[in-house]
Amino acid sequence: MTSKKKSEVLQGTLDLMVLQSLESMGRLHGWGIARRIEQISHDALFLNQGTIYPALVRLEQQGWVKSEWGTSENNRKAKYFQITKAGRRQLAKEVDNWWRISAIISRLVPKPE
Amino acid sequence: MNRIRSFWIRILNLFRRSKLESDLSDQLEAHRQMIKEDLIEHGMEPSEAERRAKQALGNDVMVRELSRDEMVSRFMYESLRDIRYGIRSLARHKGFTSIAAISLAIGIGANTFIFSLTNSTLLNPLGYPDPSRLVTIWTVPDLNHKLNAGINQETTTSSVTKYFAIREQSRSFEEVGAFNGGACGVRALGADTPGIAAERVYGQCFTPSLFPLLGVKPFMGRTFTDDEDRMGNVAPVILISHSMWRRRFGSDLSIVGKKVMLNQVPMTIIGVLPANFRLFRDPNVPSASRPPQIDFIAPLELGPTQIRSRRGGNTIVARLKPNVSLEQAQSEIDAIAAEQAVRDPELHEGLAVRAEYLGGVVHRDYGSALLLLHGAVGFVLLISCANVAGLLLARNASRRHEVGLRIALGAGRRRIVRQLIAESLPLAIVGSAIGVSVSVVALSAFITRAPVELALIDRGWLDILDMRVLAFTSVVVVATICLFAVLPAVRAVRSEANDPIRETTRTVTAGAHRHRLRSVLVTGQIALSLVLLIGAGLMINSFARVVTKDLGADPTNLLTFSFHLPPAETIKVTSMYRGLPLGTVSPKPAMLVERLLEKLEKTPGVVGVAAANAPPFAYRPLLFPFFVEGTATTTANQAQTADYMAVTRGFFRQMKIRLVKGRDFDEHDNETGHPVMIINEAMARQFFPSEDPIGKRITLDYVPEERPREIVGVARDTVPAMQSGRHPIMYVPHLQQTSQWIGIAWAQRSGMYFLVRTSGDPGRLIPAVNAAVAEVDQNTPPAEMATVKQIIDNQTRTLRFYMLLLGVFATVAVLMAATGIYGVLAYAVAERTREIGIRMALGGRSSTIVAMVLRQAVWIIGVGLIVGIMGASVLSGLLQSLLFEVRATDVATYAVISLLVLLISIIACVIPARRAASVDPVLALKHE
Repeated sequence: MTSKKKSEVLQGTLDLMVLQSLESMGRLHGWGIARRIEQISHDALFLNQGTIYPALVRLEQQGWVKSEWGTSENNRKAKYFQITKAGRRQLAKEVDNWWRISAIISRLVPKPE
Repeated sequence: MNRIRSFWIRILNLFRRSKLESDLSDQLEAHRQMIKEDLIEHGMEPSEAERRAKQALGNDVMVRELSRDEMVSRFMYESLRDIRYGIRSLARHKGFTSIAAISLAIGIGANTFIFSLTNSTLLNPLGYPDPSRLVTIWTVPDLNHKLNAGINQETTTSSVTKYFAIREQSRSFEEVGAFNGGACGVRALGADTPGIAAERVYGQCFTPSLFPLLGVKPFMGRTFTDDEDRMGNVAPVILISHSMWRRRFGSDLSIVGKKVMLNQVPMTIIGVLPANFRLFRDPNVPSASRPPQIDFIAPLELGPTQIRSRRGGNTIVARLKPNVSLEQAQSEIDAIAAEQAVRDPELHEGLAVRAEYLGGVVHRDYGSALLLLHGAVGFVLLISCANVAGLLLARNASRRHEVGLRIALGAGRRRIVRQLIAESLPLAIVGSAIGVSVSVVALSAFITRAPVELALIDRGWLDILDMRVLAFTSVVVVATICLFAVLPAVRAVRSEANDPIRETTRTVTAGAHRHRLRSVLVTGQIALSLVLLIGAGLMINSFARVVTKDLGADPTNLLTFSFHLPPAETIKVTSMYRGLPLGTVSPKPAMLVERLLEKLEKTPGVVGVAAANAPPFAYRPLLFPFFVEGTATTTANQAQTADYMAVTRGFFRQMKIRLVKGRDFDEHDNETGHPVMIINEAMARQFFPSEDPIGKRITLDYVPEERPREIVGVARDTVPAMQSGRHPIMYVPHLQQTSQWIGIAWAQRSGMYFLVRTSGDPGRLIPAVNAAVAEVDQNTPPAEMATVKQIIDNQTRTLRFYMLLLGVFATVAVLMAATGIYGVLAYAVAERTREIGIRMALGGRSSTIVAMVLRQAVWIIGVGLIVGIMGASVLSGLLQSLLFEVRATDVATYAVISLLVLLISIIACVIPARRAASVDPVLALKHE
């Protein structure tokens, strides 16, 4: 496919990325979220954009995001997602967790010279 | 918390799945369009943009599936789909569905019905609280004592002194009480109240302790105090039954404290018993003479004569202390009885006591019949499960191919097992539902027709239906269904994935091993149903003998009633004789009987009248020892006894008992006449085998002043009760009875049972008879008014009832077994269609084909019959006590029933065998 090497999304981190995107950007539709993640990663992440949808269903069922139908900038009907209060609490928890774990991991696996 | 919330959302989402899924499609479509438009804006070719947009979103189907897994519970979703498939498949296979559902319904319904019945009657028949600690204590002969050599152990009621000793000395019981039906017995209520008809009421005498002991709380008022039951000074107070309160006193709420006349004695009503109160019946009293209900309860009278009595009539009831076993209590009362026997040998020597759980007492006489039905319905449940199992095996065996294919394609094995279980759930649910309805209908229909002893009247089916039994049978059925639905699949799973495919497509003959399980099931069904049918056959055989037997008399157009004065008015106790009170009998009852005979004879519609000391065909009368004059005096131990009947003149004429020899009693056989007696043929055969009994003289050995009586006639044998054989009987003119009599049998001399032969329906004469009795003695209303036909029917009704139930179960069982055989063979034939086709094409004759099919059946049927006969010969021993004149190993019954089962089995084989023979070779070879 592409010559550039891309990383697979780490299992379980997609929820964190979606929540963080919604936290920083406010209201987004599915494609918006996908675009945001790709932009932030400078296209270094290989994202199967479809997988966002099961994640959104999961997050919505947990009550961490809410959704409503709206109209996109070029007048297309799209579903918009927003982070909720419970979602922010969850995000804080997961961010905290992420840093703790990644600190441990980076101590465990030193960067190759 | 979030987990629970998400779980519920996933369940709820099941019901709005289509909305959620179209929502997702819309989102994915919008997403794709946005990518595409964006790419086109950046100068890409529209077709390339379309391709890239699709690629970016990944596998559309996978996204949808993953989203759905998040939205709904996958387990639930798939199970619902399987169940729906199961329902569709049930609807498609109507034959299979109806046979399976009916089998299940019968299995569940019959079991729930019978077990509910026994639980509500056998286990806690009378609704006393905590019945497992209630015991009764009987007096029994001490079998180790020399006085009792050769005596069978029989339980009897106890003397007052025995009751006192156990009450005072035992430590095993929380409470000890007693009741005595004989002491209270039948009394006339309100005979002296003008304007109100007198009525016969039945009473029991209770010690005050019996109420708290049985947990009986009065509906109104109070129960007795200890002060009201002092020895020799019993208060004139009674409690009345709820039904009498309603019927006789119009539910008078101020009844407590009012006075009524009982046998012309004023009694104060101190309370009303609760509506559901029932006292257990003394199993030592023959059922026909048990009072129909209790109308009143009086304090137990403990007079001086009773204190000096060896026997009692007192039924002792006690409540065990918690954590005291029956055995511990038994050893304690054993010691008490032994000590009494030493201290007071006159009253207690040779007598022991036995404690027995109340539950065992209450149903001693017909508990075995209900247990038998338990066994029978257990068999029915087994057979119906086997039937359904066989059907499921057959149906799912044809899916081996499908299952094998799916496994080969990578289906999860667990998933397949789950699917087969879910598919069979609708069947289990439908079967259980029908089963429950069957048991409810059966229970409500049964309540009104049940034998009276079961005391089910006033109870709705909801009180009786046993939910635990229902749950149990349903679980058994569901487990069976799941097990046998899955079994063929499990086999397919276990074998190599491609095996089943190869087997079903390439082989010509079906592997025999695949039928083995079903054959075993059907063999078991045949065996079980044979056992049931033999049991039913024995019962039917026995019943036929009971109802068709020669009674020796004519029971049609006969009305009978009891006419008895209060014993206290007719007998004065004067002394003791052989440890029992001896009394002088007033001539009044005999006089009134004679007057009533004359009165009734003149009543229009009456053909003739007679009376006797026992009602006809109801129970055996008193057994009297006697001596034959001129023979060596026999010792008391070699008991020479015969049934004692005191009768009026005309007895043999009205009962239509033929005299084979000598003469009938006539008007000269009275107080002043020469003492005479008539014996029956059985007595003549037994005691005068080689000589003419006429003219021989017999002395009764009962009261001190008996004179020898001359035998003047021999009467034909009659049966004293429906389920008893012929016994020696002595008939004595009632006017020639001695003026002294011995206790416990007072009622024998305080009145008689009348026999009125009528020209038409005896029931129509009841008002006229009542009027005639009132004219002779208005204080002594007639009681136990019934036609003799009714008495006979009452005795055979219980027998008929059990026979009917057993017969129905057995029929159902054999039909199910027949379906089983048919199923196995039909399936085997269907599987061997190719083989049969080849044989036919190669010149096989259809008769050989039929023989081939039948050979398979012969094994199943043969083994089933042999196992069944063996099982029946072992189990039918349990039936023996219910059988009359039929041995439990009656060869004829066994042979007839086995032939019947064989015949039914062969019929079940014929259809598949004929189908095999008519196979068209061309079609068969093309067959799958």
